[in-house]
Amino acid sequence: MDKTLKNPLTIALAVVAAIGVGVWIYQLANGLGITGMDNMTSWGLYLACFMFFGGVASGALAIAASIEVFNLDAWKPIQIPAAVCAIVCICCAGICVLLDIGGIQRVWRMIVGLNIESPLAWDMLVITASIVVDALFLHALCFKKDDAHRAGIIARIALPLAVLCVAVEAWVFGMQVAKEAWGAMLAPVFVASALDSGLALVILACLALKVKGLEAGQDLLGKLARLLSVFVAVDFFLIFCEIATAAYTGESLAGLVLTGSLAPLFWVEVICGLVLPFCMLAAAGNGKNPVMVAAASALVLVGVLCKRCWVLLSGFAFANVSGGSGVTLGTVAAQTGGVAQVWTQTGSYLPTIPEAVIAVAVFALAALGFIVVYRLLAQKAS
Amino acid sequence: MTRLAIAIDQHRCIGCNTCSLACKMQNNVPDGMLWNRILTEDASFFDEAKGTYPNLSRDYLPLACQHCENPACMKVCPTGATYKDEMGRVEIDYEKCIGCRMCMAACPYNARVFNWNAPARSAGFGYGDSRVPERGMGVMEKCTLCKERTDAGEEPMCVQCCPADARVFGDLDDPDSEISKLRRNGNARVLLEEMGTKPQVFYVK
Repeated sequence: MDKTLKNPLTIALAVVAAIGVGVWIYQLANGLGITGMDNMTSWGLYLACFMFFGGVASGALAIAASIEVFNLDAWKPIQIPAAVCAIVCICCAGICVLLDIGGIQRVWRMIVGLNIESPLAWDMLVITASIVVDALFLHALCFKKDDAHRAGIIARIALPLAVLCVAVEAWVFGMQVAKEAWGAMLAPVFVASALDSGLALVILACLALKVKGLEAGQDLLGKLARLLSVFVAVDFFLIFCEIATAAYTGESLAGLVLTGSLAPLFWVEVICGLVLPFCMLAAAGNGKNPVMVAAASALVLVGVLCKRCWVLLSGFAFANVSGGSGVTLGTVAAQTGGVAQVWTQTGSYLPTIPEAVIAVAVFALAALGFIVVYRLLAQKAS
Repeated sequence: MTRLAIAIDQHRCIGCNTCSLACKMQNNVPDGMLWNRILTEDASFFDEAKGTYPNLSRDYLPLACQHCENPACMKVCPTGATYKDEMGRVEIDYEKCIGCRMCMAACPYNARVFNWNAPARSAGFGYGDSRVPERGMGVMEKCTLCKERTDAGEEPMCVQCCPADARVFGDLDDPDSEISKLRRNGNARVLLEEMGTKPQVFYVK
């Protein structure tokens, strides 16, 4: 077995992932009641992670495919790491959806009785298609290098598929008529977030792998830093448009994210995930400072994760038909804690420890998957 | 065609919660959740009055599944577990529900409740009508318009038990039914009309 598969990092990641599987079995036995979700806030950390991984995967796939489609030969060194990021993250996005399913034993119903009108049905189809196309693309890149034509054709399918994948992920939320906070704007916002978070992860992965051509002072690192700063600026612009419009017209969303309960997540995103990395990338745009580029990329990822959380929770802040005492929560506390625990008028949510452990385990699984897939491919291809 | 529905006369509703508990009893609804709840309008807690003394008023809004003609929940359900039946009721096939909660996010009325845990009943046993199917952990549930009763030609339990006669049950496709007459009355309103869900349940004052 390859040495890299036995190093302490890989083993630690495997242990965390295994703990996650254990806690997931506990969740299967006891129900989603072990999470912080309830009848008011009916989706939580799992689906925020789904948005995050889905976005990163599509962003990374778009980059890998663009290098082929637009013949960006100078960018070739990052192509295979980007494609590996894409396949690992799209698998993790699928895992996050499955973690959130309350009756996993009946999930086969989605195959035999699929309602094609449901955005979740579209999501299953595009995630499956993405996994297949990612795998074919990686195969072509690693094992069919002589046949440049093949990778080119797959890339021309992969690029629009990446965009469609993010759009469908946005529609799972944006097409819910009940949710004023989620709308048509969600899809473009998701595409912007996918591009910056996808590129950020690819940069981090390539720096960690010490990919040739990404050393300090190299042209490619400078180009990646500049492209990331453009993506960050676009992401900032779209969020600004959405929140500025909401604030001007007095929509409840503005108060919620600017000064309300979601403000911490929003401001961490804006300051640490957009403004700060943009300045760092501007300073490191010549590519002389890989550490600065890496730090900026990591901040972009943190910012996008925060954004996933506030976008998700903003949908559950209020009930459309309000009045005392509100909505019945249906949680363990509501079952046993007396009448005060049964009702709520506003959404409130904090992930529980088991829920957080499962989510962290998915991140560990993603890192582990990246290391294993990349090493195996590198070994087989050489 | 049949379109079963309920009309609620808010002027007659006294906020006694009898319909809510009758529903809970009839349908074996577990602890910590209700299929049918009574909201006090413009209030932060139940029974709160609106306005300032001495100009006070209080309005109750009984709220359950609206059995929409264009149900947002049905459209988003990935397995077809939520469906509109031939009597115009929105129903859930519990065997098909995978617990993804798409419907819960879609429903503008927060009418749906989910079995986050194994259903608990402080009585220590199941109660209500034996014809009502059991629901397990990880399954969505909501008002069925008392499917078992209305299939047998009976009224829903909330209608049967309302002491103020504030609820009228009937077929909207029968122009001579009491409910159709009420609907034609200019006073009838549906909740969140702008959402396009076309509720069959409506309110009069």
